[in-house]
Amino acid sequence: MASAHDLCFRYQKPLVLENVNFQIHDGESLCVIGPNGGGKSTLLKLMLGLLEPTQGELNILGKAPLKARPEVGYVPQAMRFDPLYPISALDIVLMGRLDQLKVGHYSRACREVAMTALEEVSLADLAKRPFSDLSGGQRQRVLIARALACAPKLLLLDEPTANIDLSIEEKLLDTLAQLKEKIAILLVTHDLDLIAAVGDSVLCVNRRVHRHTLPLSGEVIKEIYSGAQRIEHDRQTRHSQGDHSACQHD
Amino acid sequence: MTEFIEAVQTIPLIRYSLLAGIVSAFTFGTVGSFVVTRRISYIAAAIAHSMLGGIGAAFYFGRSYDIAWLTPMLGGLIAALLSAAIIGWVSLKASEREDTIISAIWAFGMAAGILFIHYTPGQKPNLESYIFGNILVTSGSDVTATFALGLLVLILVALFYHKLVAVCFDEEFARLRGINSGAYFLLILALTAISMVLMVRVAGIILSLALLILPAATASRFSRQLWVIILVSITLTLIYNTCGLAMSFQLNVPTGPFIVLCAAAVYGISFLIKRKRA
Repeated sequence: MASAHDLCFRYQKPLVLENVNFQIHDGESLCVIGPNGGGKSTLLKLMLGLLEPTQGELNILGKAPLKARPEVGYVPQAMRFDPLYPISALDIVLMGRLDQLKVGHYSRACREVAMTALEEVSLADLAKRPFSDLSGGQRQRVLIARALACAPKLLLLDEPTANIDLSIEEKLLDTLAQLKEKIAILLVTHDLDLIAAVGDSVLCVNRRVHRHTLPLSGEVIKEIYSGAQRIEHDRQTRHSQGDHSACQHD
Repeated sequence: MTEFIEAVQTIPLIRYSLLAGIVSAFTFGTVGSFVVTRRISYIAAAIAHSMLGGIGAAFYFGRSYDIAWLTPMLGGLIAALLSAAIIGWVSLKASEREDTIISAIWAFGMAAGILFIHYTPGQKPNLESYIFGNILVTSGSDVTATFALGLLVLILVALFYHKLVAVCFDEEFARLRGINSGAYFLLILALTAISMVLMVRVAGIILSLALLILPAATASRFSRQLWVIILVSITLTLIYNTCGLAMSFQLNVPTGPFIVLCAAAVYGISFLIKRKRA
C-alpha cells in the first residue's frame, strides 16, 4: 500500500526526516505517533505529494505520491478552518468531487456521492447545516465525509481527535473503527484510545522512523514521548539494528 | 424626489452615475462577499490605493507622448492587476511577510501617482476626484466600460463559483483534488482589482473600497451561506447607490462620502442586532 526507501527530507539545513524505511501492507491500518516537531506532519505532506523528498523514494499505492493523489483521501484538523466561513456541511463534502467539476454546478451524481459519504459518518440530517453551527466532533466527521467522497483507497488523517472533548470523541472513534473495515487508514495521532481502536501497528516518527506492533507497552510509550529517553530509544535502536531506522519492538 | 427623477431624465451626468451605481452593485456585492469571507479586505485596500500610481502614470505618459488610448481608467486597471499579481505571488510563494508587501505596494502606488501627476504636462488633473470620487466626471463610455467589466466579473464567478469557494475555504485540499489553487486565488484578487477600477470614477479609491467591504460585512453578520451573503450585499449596494445618489442630490452634499457614511452607519447598526449564532 505504501512504502519508503531511505527517505530523507529537509526544509532548510537540518534533516527533518532521515533514512526513513517502512512498508505498509495492503489492508493494514497504521497510526503515526511521535513528539511534536518530530516530522509526523512532514511525512504526511510527503505522502500527499505536497512536498518533494530531498532524497530516497516514497511509494503510495504503487505510484509516486503525486500520481496516487486521486485515490488518497485527506482529512486535515478541523480546528484549522475559519469558523466563520459561510459554508454548509454538504458543500464541504462536495469538495471531495472537485476533480469531477469543470465549470458551473456539481452534477446530481456528485451530490449523491456526497450524501452517501455524509450518511457514512451519520451526519446526513445535518447536510444543510452551516459548518460554524457544528460541534468540533461533527466538523471533523464532515471532513472525513469529504475525504470519503473522493472514493479513496487510502485515508490519511491528521490528528482527528485533537481539540475534541471526550464525550464526542467516542462517536468519532466508532466512525473510524467502521471505516477501517473497508479502507486502509493511516492516521497521525497522540490519542492512545484512537490507536487502540484503529491501528494494527504504530509508526513512531522522530526524525527517524521506528515501527511498533500493538499493544504498546508503557515502556515504549514513555520512550517515545519523554524527551531524555527518546534519545536513548534512538541510540539503542540504531545500535541494535546496525543503524537501520526501522525497528520491530516486542 | 421628483427633482431627482427629473434630473435623471434631463442631466446625462446624473443618469450615467445612476447607471454606473446600479451596474457596479452586482459586481461589488459578489466580489465583496468573497473578499470579506476570505478575510482579504486589507489586500483589496492595497490594490485600491495602488491604482493611483497607474492613473498618474496614464496621465503622464498619455499627455507627454500623446497616447490617446492610454486613459486613466486603463492605467488604474493595469496598476491594480499588477499589484494583485505581486501580492498574490508573495502570499503564495515568497518568504517575505505578506503584510509588509501589502503596505509597501499601498504606499508606493500612492506616491508614484502623486509624482506622475506633478510632472504631467498641461493642466493638472484633479487627484482628489480619483481619491474621493466625483460624479461630474462620469461619462457614457465609463458606464459602458463598467458594464463590460462587470459582466466579465459576473460570468467568471458564475462559471467558477464552487472552485473559488473551495479555494477560499481550504486551499490545500483543493490543490489535492487537482485544482490550481494559486491560479484561483489570483483570480479572486484580479476580480477584486477589476471591481475596484469600475467604481473609481464615481466613488473614488477610498470610497469604492468601503462600498466593496461594508455591504458584504453587514450581510455576513446575518447569514451563514455565501450565496445569501452575495444576494444581500448586491441588494444593499443597490439601495446605497441609488438612494444615496438621490438623497445627496436632494441635500446637495458630495455623493461618494454620503453613500459610504450610510453604508458604514448600517454596518454599525448591525452590531446592535445579535449576530446569527455562530
